Amino acid sequence: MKKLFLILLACMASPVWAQQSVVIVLDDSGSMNTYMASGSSRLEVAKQSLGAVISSLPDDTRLGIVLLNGNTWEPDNWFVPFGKLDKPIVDAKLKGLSCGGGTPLAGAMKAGADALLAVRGKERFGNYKLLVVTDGEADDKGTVDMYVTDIMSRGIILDAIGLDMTKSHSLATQVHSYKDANNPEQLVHAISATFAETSSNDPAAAAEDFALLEGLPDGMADKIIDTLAIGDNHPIGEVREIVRDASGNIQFSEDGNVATQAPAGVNVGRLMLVAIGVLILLAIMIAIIAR
Amino acid sequence: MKRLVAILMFMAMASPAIAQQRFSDLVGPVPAEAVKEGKEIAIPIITWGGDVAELLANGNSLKTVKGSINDKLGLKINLVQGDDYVQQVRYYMTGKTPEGLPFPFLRGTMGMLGQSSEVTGSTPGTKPHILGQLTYSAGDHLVCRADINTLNDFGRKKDGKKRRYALQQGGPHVDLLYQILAASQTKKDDIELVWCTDLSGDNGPAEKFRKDSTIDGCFVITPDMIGLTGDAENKGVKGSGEEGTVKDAHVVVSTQTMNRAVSDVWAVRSDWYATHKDFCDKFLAGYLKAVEETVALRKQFSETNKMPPAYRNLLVFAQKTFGEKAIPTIEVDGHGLMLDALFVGLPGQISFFEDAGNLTGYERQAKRVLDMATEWGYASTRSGFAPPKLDYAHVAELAGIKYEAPQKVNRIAAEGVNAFPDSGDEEPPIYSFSINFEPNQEEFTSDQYGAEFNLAIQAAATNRNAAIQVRGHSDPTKTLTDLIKAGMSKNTIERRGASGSFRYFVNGDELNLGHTDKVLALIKAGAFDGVSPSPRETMGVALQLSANRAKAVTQAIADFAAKQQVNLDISQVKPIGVGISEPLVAKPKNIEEAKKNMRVEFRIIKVSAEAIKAQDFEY
Repeated sequence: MKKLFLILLACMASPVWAQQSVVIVLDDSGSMNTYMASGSSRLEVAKQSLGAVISSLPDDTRLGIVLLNGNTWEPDNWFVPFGKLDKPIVDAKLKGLSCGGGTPLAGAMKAGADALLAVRGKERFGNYKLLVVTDGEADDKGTVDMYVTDIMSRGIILDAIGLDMTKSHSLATQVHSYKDANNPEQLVHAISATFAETSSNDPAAAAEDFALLEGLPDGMADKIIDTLAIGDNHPIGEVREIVRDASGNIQFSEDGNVATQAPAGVNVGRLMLVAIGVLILLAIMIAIIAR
Repeated sequence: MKRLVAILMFMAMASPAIAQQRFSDLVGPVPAEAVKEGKEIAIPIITWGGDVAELLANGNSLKTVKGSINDKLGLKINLVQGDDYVQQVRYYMTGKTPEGLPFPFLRGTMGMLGQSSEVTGSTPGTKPHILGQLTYSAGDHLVCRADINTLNDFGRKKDGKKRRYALQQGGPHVDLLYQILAASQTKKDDIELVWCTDLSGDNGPAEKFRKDSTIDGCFVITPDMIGLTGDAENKGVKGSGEEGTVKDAHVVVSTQTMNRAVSDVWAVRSDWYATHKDFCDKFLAGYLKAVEETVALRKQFSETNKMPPAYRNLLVFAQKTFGEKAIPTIEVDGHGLMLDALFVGLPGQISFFEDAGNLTGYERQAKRVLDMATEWGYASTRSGFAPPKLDYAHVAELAGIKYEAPQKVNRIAAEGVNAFPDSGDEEPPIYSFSINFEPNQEEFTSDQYGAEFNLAIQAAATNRNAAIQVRGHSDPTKTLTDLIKAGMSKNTIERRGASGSFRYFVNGDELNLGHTDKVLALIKAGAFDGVSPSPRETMGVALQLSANRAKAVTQAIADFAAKQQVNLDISQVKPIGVGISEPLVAKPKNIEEAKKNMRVEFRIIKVSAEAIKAQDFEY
């Protein structure tokens, strides 16, 4: 079982090309102490296997590991700070890892994705991958669902490895590839790279793609590609709303940028933080009253 | 490092002819005679760093000095000037110098030996045994004008006219040209050659190039390259037009990168070799011993900047032998000449003659230069050579040097290659070529792409100071259609019309090229994000696909090399995915145009010196 999982992990994070940036979000919550059918705890399987993943990465990989229960989500202070890969140090750190605490999975995913976006903002090219290793029992599941969509829409490759994770979890159904540690031979879900270029291998169906493009002015496509490549690197979860007039026309500012504003609705993440704050205040007040 | 130096002169070819012609016509009627008997053997040397080691072996003297390496081996050698290769061949065929010394040796490059092969192979006794390799060259350069930036520009101009290149007739650059044509997949008919009688000087290619602006490029040696470009450190500097340089003249390819293209060798007549094998073993042993000492002295000076007295004495004698025109100064020009010579040493002999997988070894070079000689009319028959079949352990013992088999090393460090040459101010690739495939294809077989894989493997072997960047590309069609779909879904853009005549509108205005900035601003503002399908997500997947392609092709090349049992330093091959960012057709109109974008491009790129693993011997 362990051997299979090692292979599975190695395949998912195998070195593909130079200039690779990888952030691993590693679940170290209390639920990871749960024993799997194999007799090993979820964390034990995860951390031992990650050693094999690390060893398979090219030396020039930029790597970071963020824990759910680390003291900080600043990349310089992660469990493994985001930077040039140093395999012996990473191995040593993984060996000493223990788990306990909550499961703020969305926060850790945001920290990891934001770090990748910050690097991408400085470098036009490269490949950016977020690998989430978790049992999926998140405290903030709604936010996780929202972040999965946001992260993937930015062009970051999002992979997940589930340890006893429910099959309906967004990490098991929406990411680029998901594998279940309980059944490592089976790729449970993968967004195929097969149709990255045309919608279909059927020439007739693919012809619809070209028909769609015809209305795009000649000379604009290469500039669109350049702009898409630069990427949308603002932090995950910070939604901006485009301003429209009463007729629905998009508003542009004098400098040529699109006018944006804070969304009318409430940010789910912020709402949760506020709710937690209110609950803590309530608890303190109840405690005081009870005295 | 090196400053402008006086021109290094090679002697003129004997014939005034400037058209390409049979080598036998250059040599003229010359009888093949037995090598004259004599205790002192005349051996030719040419103006080259590799030959300076032989001066050391002889005791810094043209005649073997008592106590020298050669003397200790019991050899009596008289080194004679051999820069006039045609004259060498005449002495070789008659077996003696005009002074009556036995003359059984030839000293040239493999290319030069190829050109003379019909003459030297005309009798069994004169068929050359290739006795040993001195060096590979790092001192030959193709200098071109502004509009030739890579070897992909080497052939015809855009208007269909042939480009013109100047080079010496019969010299070492003929074979270099032959290899460049093969690498760039250019036909000889697509260029015009301007033959020069000399390698350098008033009748050399550099001077032709300087005076005749219709000449697009020239093949020159290092001092001339510096003279034309001012690029003393081979950093891609272009000539300013001042101080004798030619405006915008620059190096397109150099044997500093293509450093397995020109092999300098000794050859010996078969009849004499059969009866003097002991002498030949000792001669090579003496040379290899001197090479070890020379390389150590050169290294000491390079590292300390303090010239060891023994090195100074050697270079002073080289200056005296080759002339002050060739070596004006000891520290700069003398040392520079030595740095251009890539000594192969004892392990290089084994690698060159005995490693069947060596793509720049004897077997393959012999085939190439004979192909060149017959295809280009230097020879009408294919008269080959014979390898020495030496016992190198015995040679090492004779020389008193450690027997050292060649090691296969990973030459290029990972960080030595900028993954994205176009993103900065790096030099353009030396040359590039591509393979195309079907939509969404991720597997590549050598049955389909064997020819291109061979080109890549040969490029790695010949350009040992270069990396072969395997650059995967994918087509942007789906990314762009997803952008349109996302835009419609979010009411960012509006579509009108029917399939085949779709038109797009933003704020009621029909999109035209003048709206480009607006569309780009919308992309930056996220006006196409957050819905499925997302163009950025598709773009990310296309990047992954391109990287998978690059990786698959790299693995296929490695497998192909292993299957063919040829050497490949995999550290030279660098896969990289660049996704849709560099399409050849940004907005494909049909699947044929889209397929042009679905490609893997092989870029042969120069690597920074710091990233190359240093070796005492180059093999």
